[in-house]
Amino acid sequence: MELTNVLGICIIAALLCIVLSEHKPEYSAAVVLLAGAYIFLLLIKNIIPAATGLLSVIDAAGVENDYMKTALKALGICYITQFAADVCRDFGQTALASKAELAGKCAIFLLSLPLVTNIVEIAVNMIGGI
Amino acid sequence: MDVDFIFRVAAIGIIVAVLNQLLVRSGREDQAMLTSLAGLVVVLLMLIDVIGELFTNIKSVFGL
Repeated sequence: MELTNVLGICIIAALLCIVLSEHKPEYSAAVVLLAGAYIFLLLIKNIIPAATGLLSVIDAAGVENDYMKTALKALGICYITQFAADVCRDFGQTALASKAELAGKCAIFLLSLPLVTNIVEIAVNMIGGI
Repeated sequence: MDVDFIFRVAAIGIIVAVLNQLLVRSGREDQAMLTSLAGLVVVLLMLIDVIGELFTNIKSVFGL
């Protein structure tokens, strides 16, 4: 990925949207969606080495890997939810955007529920130990 | 996917807009409506592939 590539795609897509929105607004929406997906796909290729590097560092530190994997999963859920919500908001559907965000929040809460129960168990054990 | 997709969608939009104007001017509103509908279906078919590719990519990267 190159930063200039992404910036150029953004500007060109914005210009195309201005041209299209006069006569056919639905096509400008499609262009926005496509440009967003393309930029995301470019960025994902960058995220893969970053994530694997981070996981190897965590491995070397001797911390349990599961927690980091959960955090990465939450990050992925955040990315796709934000993408969908932003697209909905761009098309003027704020209600659908907030529903998408709510779905993402639910997914992340379900993902992190085992960790929360772990913490609560540890806390209960400590209180019981006193 | 390639960056060509964005330009292709924009080109389809412009062509459909021009065809629409021509057909409306020559008094064929029903055909104009069908043309814009067909263009929209083509664009949506292109979009579905890209969105599916994006979501499967994110799922495989983050292990969802």
